[in-house]
Amino acid sequence: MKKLLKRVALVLCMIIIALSVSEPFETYAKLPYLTYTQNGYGQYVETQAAYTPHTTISKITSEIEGIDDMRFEEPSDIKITDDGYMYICDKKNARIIVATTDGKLDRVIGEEWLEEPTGVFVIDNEDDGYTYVYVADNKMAREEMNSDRKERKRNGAVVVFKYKKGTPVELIPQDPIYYEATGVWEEQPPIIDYKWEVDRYYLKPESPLYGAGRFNPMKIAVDQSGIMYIISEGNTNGIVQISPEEGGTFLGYFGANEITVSLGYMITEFFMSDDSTAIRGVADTPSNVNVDEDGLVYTITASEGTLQSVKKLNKSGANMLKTEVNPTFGVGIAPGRYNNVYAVTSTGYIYEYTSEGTLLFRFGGKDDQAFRVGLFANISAVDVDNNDYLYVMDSINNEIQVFKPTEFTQLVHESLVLYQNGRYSDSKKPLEQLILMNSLFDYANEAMGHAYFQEENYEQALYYYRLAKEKQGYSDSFWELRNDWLTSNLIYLIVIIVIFWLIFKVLGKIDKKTGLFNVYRRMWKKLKKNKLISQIAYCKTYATHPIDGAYAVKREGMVSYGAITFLMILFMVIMIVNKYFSGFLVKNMRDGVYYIPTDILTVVFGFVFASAVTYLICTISDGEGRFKEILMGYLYSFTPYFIIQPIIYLGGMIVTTNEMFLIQFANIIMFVWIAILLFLTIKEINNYTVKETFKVIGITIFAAVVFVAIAFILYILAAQVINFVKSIYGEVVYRLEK
Amino acid sequence: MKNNKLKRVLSLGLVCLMFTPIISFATAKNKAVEGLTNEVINRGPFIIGDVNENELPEAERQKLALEKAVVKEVENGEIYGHKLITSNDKYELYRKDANCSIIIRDIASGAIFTSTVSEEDAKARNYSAVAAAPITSGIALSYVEEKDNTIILNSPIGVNTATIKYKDAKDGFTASISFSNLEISFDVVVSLDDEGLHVEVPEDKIVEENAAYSVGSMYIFNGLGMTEKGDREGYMILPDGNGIRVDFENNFYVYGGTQEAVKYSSGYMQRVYGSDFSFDLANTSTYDETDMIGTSNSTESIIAPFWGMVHTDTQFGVLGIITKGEESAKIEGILNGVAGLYENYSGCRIIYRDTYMRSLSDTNQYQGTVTATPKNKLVGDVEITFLFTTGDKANYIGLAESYRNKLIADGDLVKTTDGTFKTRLDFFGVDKEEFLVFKTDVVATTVDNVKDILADLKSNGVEDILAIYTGWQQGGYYETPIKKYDVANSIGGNSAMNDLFKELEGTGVDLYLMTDMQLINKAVESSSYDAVKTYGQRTKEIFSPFLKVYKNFRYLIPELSNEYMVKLSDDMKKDGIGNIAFSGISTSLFSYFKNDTQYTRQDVIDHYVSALDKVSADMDIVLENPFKYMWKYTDSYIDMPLYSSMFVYASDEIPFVSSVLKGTIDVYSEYVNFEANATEYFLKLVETGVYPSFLLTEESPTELLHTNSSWIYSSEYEQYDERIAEYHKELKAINDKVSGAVIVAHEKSDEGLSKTTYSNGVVVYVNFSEKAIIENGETIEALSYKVGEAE
Repeated sequence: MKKLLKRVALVLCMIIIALSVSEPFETYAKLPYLTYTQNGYGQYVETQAAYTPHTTISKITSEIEGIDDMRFEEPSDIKITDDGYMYICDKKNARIIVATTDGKLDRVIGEEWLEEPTGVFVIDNEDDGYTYVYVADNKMAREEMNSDRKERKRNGAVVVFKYKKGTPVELIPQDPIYYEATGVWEEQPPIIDYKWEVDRYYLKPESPLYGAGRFNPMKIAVDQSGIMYIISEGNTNGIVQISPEEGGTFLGYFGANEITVSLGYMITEFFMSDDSTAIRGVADTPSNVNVDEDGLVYTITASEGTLQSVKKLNKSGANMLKTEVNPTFGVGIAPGRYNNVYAVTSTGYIYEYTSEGTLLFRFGGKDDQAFRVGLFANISAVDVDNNDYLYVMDSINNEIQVFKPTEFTQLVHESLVLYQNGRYSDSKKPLEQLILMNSLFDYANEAMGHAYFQEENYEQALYYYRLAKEKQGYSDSFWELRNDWLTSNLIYLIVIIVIFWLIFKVLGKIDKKTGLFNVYRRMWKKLKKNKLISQIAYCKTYATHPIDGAYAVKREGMVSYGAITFLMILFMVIMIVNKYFSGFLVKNMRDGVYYIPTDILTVVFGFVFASAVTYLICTISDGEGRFKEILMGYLYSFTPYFIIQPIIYLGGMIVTTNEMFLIQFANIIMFVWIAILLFLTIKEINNYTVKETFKVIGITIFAAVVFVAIAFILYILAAQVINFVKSIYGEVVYRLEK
Repeated sequence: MKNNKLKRVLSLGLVCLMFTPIISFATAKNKAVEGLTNEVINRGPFIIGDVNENELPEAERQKLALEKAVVKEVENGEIYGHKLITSNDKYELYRKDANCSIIIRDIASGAIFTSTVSEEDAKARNYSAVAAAPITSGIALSYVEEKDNTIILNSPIGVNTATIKYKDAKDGFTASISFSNLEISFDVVVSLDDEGLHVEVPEDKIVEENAAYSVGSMYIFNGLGMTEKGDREGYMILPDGNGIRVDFENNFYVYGGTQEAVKYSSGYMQRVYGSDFSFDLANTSTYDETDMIGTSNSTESIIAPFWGMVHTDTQFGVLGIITKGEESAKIEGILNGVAGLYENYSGCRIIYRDTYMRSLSDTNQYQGTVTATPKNKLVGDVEITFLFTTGDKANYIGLAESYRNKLIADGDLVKTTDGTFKTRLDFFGVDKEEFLVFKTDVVATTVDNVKDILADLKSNGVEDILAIYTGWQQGGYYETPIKKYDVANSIGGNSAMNDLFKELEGTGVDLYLMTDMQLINKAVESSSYDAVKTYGQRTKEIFSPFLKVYKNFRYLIPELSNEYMVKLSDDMKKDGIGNIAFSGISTSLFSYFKNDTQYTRQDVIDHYVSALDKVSADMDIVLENPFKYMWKYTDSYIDMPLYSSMFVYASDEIPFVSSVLKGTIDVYSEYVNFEANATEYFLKLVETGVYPSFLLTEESPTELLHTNSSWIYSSEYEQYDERIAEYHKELKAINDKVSGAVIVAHEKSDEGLSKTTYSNGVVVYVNFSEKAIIENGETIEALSYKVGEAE
């Protein structure tokens, strides 16, 4: 069913895509891609460009005499150091190219030692002055690593190279060689000494804890203490953690993803016997890993679905990011300078998150063969330099696109630093500018709320929190405002209550003596003689005495379509008011969205359908109830809703999250009460025993599901038939025209 | 027993029936996906074969190429097999009979433009006949073939396979070309005069005798001015956005040690005046299926049909323009490496017939579609003019100048500006949001607000303003089409608006009311009778899932656009309002189907232009980003794109169109509000001389959050007042120095310093880099500008 719905959705999407053309309304100066941020509801909203294309590096230029410019082919990873060097993992040419960030060659590392390098990480060791380049190689190139050739192909290695930064490359001239056959001295090209050496390498851990799986390092990250975090291809246990001690000690697996259990899997599991070869749920292997200066480990997983694919893990492997918007097909991740996180997907998108996991920006896109800057054929990795320029690697186009933060993004980063350090008030200045540039940027609105909250300007804080849809901040500000109000007005409030109470009491006394309100009493009595009003007013009795109530419905004429209609309308009004106009903290609907016709239909259809199905089942199960009676009974059973829901509604206006349990408690009481009334209604109206009632309820639910399914199928069939007829008509018209 | 059997059969049947929709859904989906994925093909590297070992080194090639490009002495009246046909004071026209190839020679310098590559070269380089047809033959033709009810759009063929009869005249020649196997013949009339080279293809001379073959499209001297690889110095000019420059560079490189690869597999290829939904099925703007958001912006539309080639080494430039028939043409810029060709060339493809998809089923357009071709030709007479410049005019600014002169001479451009600097302010009036079952007005700016804002700006020194009121109509911004002059009551109604107009009379503020005369809001007008159908006979629907209130729009049939435009303007005139602005009709163009007739884009233009003719008789008109054929009607050009579509091959963005217009009509930018790089955008305005535009509201845009206009995220006047005054003051100061002058030179250095020279000698330096630059002894600080005098 779910799959079918998904398909329906997909087909609808396809149709929508097919029908769509460009937005005819918006007039921005356009980049090839659009930039989105998330709003307080976790939805994408468009914002101005966060990054603009700066340059594209498609070859590394050499200023060293005797060395030609280089092109990298199928580059698979990139790392950028603080001093402005980039390390390109040139997979197809099996080497690491070291270049400055503007694309000038520094040196080449690892030739002849690497076979299929896919991941690189760099550590500058200040103690010995060496720079260590860690390379994850899917295979072992050299015999000295393992003499078994087969094993070299099967398993890979992590190779660590070291060199001293700034050491000039040396070209060693070679003597010409004399070829006797031709009698010619042939010039030999000089040997280039790039001045690096292999420091050490790590093979598959021998620890029994590692298990029987292969060791094919794909990506690597290293923390300041030298502990390596290695992603091994196809290893679902998690990230391999190896300490450099004793030539490589396997510390265990780290940060494994949760197993995603799909509905399909659960069904398969349910039907398959234990010993059958049912497909077990398997955790996805992360596709890339990175480590920041504080030793926090970042991972990204290329999975579809709702799984948390971007993670920031602390030492114990717990995830500290809470993302609402998750990239699919994620392949690269890099921590930024402001505790922000960059993630990229192979499909061409770049995401930037705050340290908490709020999406700041998403941009980029798939190159649809339009050859436009800022779009990608296949992203393989990302890193960021000291100026917040993003280096995004494309492994099909063999290029690195460099993006430059816009003035807008610089402001975001500026406020991010202040905000994350808790200097909310200081962050107000950049935030004000940000809001000037984009009043609908909810991250800025939320931060502004915090700033005002800290300044104890709760009214402004409330305003910005409301804009940002930030419930906790709103609640806190509201608490403060309410507190203020109560402190200054409590005394008046008490006085007013006392006055009202006194008036009430005095009037009561007078009434007792003089019969002051007898006029109204008589009027009410008169009114009650009206059948409809008495039927409606019977709610009250029904809610407290449902057994008598059911009897009254059946035997005392407490049933009419007029009353049914009135109660249904009452139900709708309460529901609609409550749904769309409740207090912000208890509101579940988005602002500005109304589905009134659907709501009305749902209520009418819901009651009528439920009653009809119950009636049908009851008639074949010796029930005594009639349709009208059952419908009336159901509506009477909702009396608690008529009474309690308005109270909840009013309560929702004045509670904060601290008192939210009161609302929840009231809800529980209301629904339990309704459930009891419904149960008794079915039981009493049909004159069933308890056991019979349960049975009938079960059958009713089942029947309802079957009815819905049949209706759905009929609808689809009808649509197919209509479509078929239309197709034939179209074809006939076309042929006739010809 | 029997009963049981029947039951079983029945239930089995029921189960089968239940599965049918599921199966058909599955198949429907797969087809849809196939249809889409076909379009998404990865690019690069494009390996074309083994490295050619015999290739000359680059330096030698360059030397040889330059030698071949200058013919100082013409021997025997022939250049490379082309014989002299005619000449004027400056240029000579040569022709090679076999393939109708031409050469243009600048008499003074001897520099030449060739239009074809020689047969020997083509053979030696293994060119595919199809890919190279437009550059191995002066004229190339692609034809439509109808065979067994299928329509095939064939690749181009050269005229070397046809019979050509030449008739020489004093100023040129007529080539009668006849493809006997296709039974297609047509004439090409070529003439050289003082303006430049004119080429005509008269419609009445096109003969299609065999119903199975008809003219598809025609390439007319596409190779004129072509160069090879990176052998020559110079660039190509393409009409992307304001204009782009593509430098000649070698796009061939060695991949994987032994193989030759090229950077690009296709070049620039865009329909003039934007895409046409009758033919261009998938617009470039796409949506992400999972998140239901847009993924990429569409490319910039071509606003004027031009292209150019500039040889800076021989100081010779050519600008091709289509003067007739451009509405059914594509402009192409092909770079060396594409299809393995060595040449860089640009030109146009006149589309006589295109194919479109006609869907016979209702729900899914990928099911049951047939390929069809229009019954009649999409274009009539075709005229192309090539303008040439030499010496210090051989650059894009020189070519822009000759284009401007031609436009003025032809009456396509009329001078309206008096040189006064103005800031454009668009005021956003009303939009709707949902409330229960109703839609209620959300007022962003009332008429009184506009009055106050203008007064406030005046006190801040901003007096000269082009003001445009959008969303003023009853029902708000998206209540389209607008049929009568009915100002929303919530912003003050007709009387307040009339008062405002009266009050502004004689001040420096010109107020216009903006109207979209092309879109129909489906919720307002649900009848599909007024809506445009594509050639595929489907009502054209625009569905925008992200819009909050109205999501469905359609296009108004041009007859009604015409009618409403005239009616509305008459209505406004009665109230004494003489200014109207139009959007929609000026920025999009289509072919459509109605009552069994296929109407071409020319028919649509006729409707729009005739309405503009009537309205402009006694009203002032402003058009939003108008295409070339509407330039003469607009007092100002608003929403000029300052950026290009950012194609990877573009070397730089050039202010081509804005230079053509500068000095004749006022040109205004797109909204400054939505620029993420405010400083850079300001400098762009300084560089191009384009006037700034702001979108303003009195209320905070958060008010509009639940309306369709939630795309406005920054517009509150209170936040913009200082900025507007600042921009106005600074830009006015620059403008006053160049008032009435035109741009005569423009260059941009690699460091990021641009230098714009005006005809009165003023030079505007703009430094886009983050470092200070010293030029002519003057220091231009990082991200700033300086105005000086020419040396």
